[in-house]
Amino acid sequence: MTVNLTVKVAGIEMKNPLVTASGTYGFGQEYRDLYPPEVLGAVVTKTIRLRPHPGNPPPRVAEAPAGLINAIGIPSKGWDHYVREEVPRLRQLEVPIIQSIVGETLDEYVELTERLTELGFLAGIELNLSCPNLRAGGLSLGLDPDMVYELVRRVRAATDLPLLAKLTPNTADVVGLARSVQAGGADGIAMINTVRAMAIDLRTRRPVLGNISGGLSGPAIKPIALYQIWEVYEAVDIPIIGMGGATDYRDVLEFILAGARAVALGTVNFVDPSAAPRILRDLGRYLEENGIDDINDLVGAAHRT
Amino acid sequence: MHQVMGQVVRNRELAAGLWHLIVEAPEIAARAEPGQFAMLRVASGLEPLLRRPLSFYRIARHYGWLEFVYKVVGRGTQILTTRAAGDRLDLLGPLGRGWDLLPGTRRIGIVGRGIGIAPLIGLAEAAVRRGIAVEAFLSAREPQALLGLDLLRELGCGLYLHTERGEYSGRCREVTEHLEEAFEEEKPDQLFVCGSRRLGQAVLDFSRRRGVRSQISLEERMACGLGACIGCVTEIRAEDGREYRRVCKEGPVFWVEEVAMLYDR
Repeated sequence: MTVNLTVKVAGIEMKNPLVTASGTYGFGQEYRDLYPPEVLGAVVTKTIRLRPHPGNPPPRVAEAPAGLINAIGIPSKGWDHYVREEVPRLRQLEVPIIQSIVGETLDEYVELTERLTELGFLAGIELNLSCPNLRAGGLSLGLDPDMVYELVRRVRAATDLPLLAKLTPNTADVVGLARSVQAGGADGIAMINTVRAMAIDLRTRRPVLGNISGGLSGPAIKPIALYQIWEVYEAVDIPIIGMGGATDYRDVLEFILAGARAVALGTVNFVDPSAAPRILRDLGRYLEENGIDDINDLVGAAHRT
Repeated sequence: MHQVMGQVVRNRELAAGLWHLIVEAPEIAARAEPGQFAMLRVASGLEPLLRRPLSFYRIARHYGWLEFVYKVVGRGTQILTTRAAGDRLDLLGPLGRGWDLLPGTRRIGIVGRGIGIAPLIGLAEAAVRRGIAVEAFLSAREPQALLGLDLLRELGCGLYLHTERGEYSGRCREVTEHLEEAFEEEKPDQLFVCGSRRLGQAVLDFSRRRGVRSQISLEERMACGLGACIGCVTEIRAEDGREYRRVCKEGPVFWVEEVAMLYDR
């Protein structure tokens, strides 16, 4: 029996449902010695900014139980460097590339989107709406459904490329955010981003991270991610790329059953940098052994009564 | 870079809290250079989650062996002590940029403290093989923690030792005094340092005063080890101000005059 692993997410054809989580896979070069990026359904690259930004002061990472807290701060060498250094190598990859972006203003999101669209090689754009440094009226931009709606609407008008909105889990109303991005014209949702967290060093009696707080990722957040995806799946019609601590094929299947059409591998890339081909192999074997000939049949299947 | 299941050849305690680990991993050993490191997965499950970076102590290519010395500092290294000969160990490496022995270098100094001595031993071996004279300036809490001492003696290195207790405790001398004494007549071509910021600053000062090209190996909290997460940065002095560079990728070895923290006193 041949099993179908291909999925279509936000209009992007993927040969399997495994993608990378932004910020864990660079621009597709770092893991090349271990496996070709073409193994993946899509590559979601590190978030870029229009203008150079150094990122947060170190230390930037701290370990947590079954998790990782990071406060990298989205360092970016800016647009010119991206076009000169990263784009030529990204163009060589024979896999859909989804470029993640962040802006300091709505205008910057729009400008980056226009410029990226002109480059002509991207499969899609992911809007990083979870950056805590972006503020609008004292509130993180990504937390305000009205702001998120307005942002997606404006970016939507600037491109025909598939648009994914990456949502923060640090809200009381993730469903409200999901409805807003759908109403604004997003083609899909990526969720969840990291969960706000911190670590304290008993030896120094100070916060570990230079930024004091950061975002928790890894297996520790998987149950949170599953439930948020479950809620959002029930509330919107656009597809979901699910993520948050998946480390093996079982996790990937659980995300799919909760409602994700594709699943991003993030922190697991640091733990086992060969995770993607391993999980892909195991996934195919599971489907075969269980007589499931199309992975799409499992999307949201946990909701069926 | 390879990810392999290596086999533990030996894992034993050298001194209190200091362990010597030998792993057979020929693919990595074939390409490893002194100053580079590997990421070791210490647990088979998800706790602790992250790999642990360990720099190469010695590289025995013809055996396909990688040698590490690690200090037990937390859960990860504690678990590592339970690995025994024959056990399998998931290794990723070689990673990062190692030491640079420049063309024409004839005499070098290695300056290390505590566990920071470890990445300097493989360098001393490589240097002696190339006919380079090596002076070693080592310090530690106790004599047993002076890593690689017997080997350095066999290699014929000049030794300048200091310990807080025991045989080499004598008069407390600053490493700068040792450096001035050893290199009074003729400066070394290069110095290599690892172990503490203070030591790095001493080497930076000496190197600037005497015009020596020197390198330091840095340590920073790391997640991926292969350049993807940008978590392990250090501040580097660049032409237009300071910028962050990745310790795992552009380092862990840097030229001392680049490293911003050595100027922050």
